[in-house]
Amino acid sequence: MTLFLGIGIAGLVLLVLSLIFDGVIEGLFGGVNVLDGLFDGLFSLPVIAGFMSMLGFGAAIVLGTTNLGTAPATAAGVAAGVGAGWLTWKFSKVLMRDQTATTPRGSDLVGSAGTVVTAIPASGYGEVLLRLGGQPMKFSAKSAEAVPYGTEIWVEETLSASSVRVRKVER
Amino acid sequence: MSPVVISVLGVVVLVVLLALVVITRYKVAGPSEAFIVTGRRGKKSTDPTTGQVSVDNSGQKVVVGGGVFVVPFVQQKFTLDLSSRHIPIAVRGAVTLRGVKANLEGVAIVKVGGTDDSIRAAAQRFLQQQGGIVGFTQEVLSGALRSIVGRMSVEDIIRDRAAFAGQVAEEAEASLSGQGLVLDAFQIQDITTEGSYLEDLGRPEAARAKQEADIAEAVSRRAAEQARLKAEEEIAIAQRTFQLKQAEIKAETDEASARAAAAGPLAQAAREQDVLIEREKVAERQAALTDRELDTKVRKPADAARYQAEQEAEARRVALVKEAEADAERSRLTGEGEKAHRAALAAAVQIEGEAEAAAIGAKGAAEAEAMHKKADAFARYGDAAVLQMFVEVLPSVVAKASEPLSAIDKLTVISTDGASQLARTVTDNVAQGVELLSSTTGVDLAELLKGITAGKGTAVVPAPAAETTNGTTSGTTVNNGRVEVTD
Repeated sequence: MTLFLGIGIAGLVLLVLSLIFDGVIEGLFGGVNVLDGLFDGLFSLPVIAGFMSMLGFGAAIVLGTTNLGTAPATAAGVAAGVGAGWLTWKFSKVLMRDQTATTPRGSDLVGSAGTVVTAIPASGYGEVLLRLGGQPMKFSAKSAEAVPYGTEIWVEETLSASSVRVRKVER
Repeated sequence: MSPVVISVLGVVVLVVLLALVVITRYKVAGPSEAFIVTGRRGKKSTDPTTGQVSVDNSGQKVVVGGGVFVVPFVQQKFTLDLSSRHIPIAVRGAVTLRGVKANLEGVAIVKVGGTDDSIRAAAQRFLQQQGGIVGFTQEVLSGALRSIVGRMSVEDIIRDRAAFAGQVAEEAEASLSGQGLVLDAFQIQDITTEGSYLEDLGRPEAARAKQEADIAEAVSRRAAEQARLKAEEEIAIAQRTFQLKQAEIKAETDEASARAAAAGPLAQAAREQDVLIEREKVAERQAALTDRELDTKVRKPADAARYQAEQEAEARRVALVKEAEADAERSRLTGEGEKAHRAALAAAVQIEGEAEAAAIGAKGAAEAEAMHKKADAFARYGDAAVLQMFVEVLPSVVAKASEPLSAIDKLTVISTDGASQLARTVTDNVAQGVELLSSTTGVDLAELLKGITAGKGTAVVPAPAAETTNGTTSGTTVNNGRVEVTD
């Protein structure tokens, strides 16, 4: 009885520690290559701590409320612990899947439309305003021909992270 | 406390803690920061031609403005600030296209690019030294600015923003985009030149602007002054109108007040007039009354007396008329007798007169005949006879003229002229007498004599003239019974 309670409380303490010293305890095992990927989800510390704690408390509850003896109580505790660990892992998986979509890339710009904000001379740079990832961004722009201010353009290719080649939209 | 209760409590706490632990692993990036999560393996890919296996960099995740679950132990999360950096840039003595040295102060707004590529590039260069972005950019851009200024003239830098921006973009492309940095804006804050180039550039325009301003000011002052004068004129006109109106109103009110003031006396006068009229009526009545009294007391007795007198006078008159008629009758009868008497007398006188007249007529006729004969005789006399008569008369005339002298008893002559003057006095008296006669009667005796002598003379002149030629020039010549006296 006391053993089970102890295991449960130890699991709780482990969890609190992992919460406070996030990453510290995991770091202790950082250099172990064998364990690579082991703690990376299914066997992460919260899962293990949850399993331990649930095992102890589950067994203690079964032992205290029934007269089944220590062995059946331990089996019930393990089952409860596996359930808790599995739930924790599942929750983590849900959050990992809920990550933000990919960050916009310069190549995404090709084909998008925008407006000239500083006239583009025949040779040299002007400025265009484009929408990238839902936000307006200003890019330096070159064009084969001079494009006056306010003209609608299409992006032909990205020259660099901050410059594009554009073409006047002709309808 | 039973172990069961402790266990139940432990389970509750466990669930809460597990939820917390899992949730804290989920990181959310702010709007101006990027997370770079490293630690996972990239994807393996095999080149189909060479069969070479390579692992890409997709294990390194870039998250902008979103959430990421950072797996403990195997992943690490880094944060890159994407916000703008305000970078002042100053260039001293940059030589412009035409050789004018210029000092420029500008400001650049630089940030880490928002795309995956830019963030990866910037993260590699600046993640651990993000403060270094400012210094790096400052150095790069001041160099770029110097070369940009070298390609442009001062006027172009000031005026042609597009050209300047294009040049800046070109320079920045080469130096900044490789660093994952983006030049959001680059503006010249201040530009000065060595010497007074810029001031000189602006002076003509400034002078023109000043001139225009002066002209505009003068024009506006003129307009304002005109408007003010017009307004004053209108005010004056309005004042005049007002004063006229005031005077008019005053006249009206004065008249009204005078009327009002006169109303009292007028009313009083009217009342007095009424009183007078009433009194007049009373007086008339009294007069009428007095008249009637007079009628009864004085007039009627007087009339009666007058009538009596009249009747008496009439009676007297009739008596007198009758008397006069009687007298007249008597006179008429008397007159007729007298008339007959007088007629007889007149007839006697007439007869007497006729006789006398006949006598006189006969006498006159005889005298006339005598005179006639005398006149014929005179006519036959001629001038010699007249002269003779005149000469006969003359001594009596002279005697008459000297008569006063003859009356003198004693004469004492005291004169320078001597006693000869006395004789001359007699001739003077004759002359004066003739003169007196002519002046008083109008008969010029001397003239008459001269006329007689002359008239006859002219008629007989030829004869003496003939004699004169014969040599007879004596003072008095008797010719044909006529005497001609010459001086």
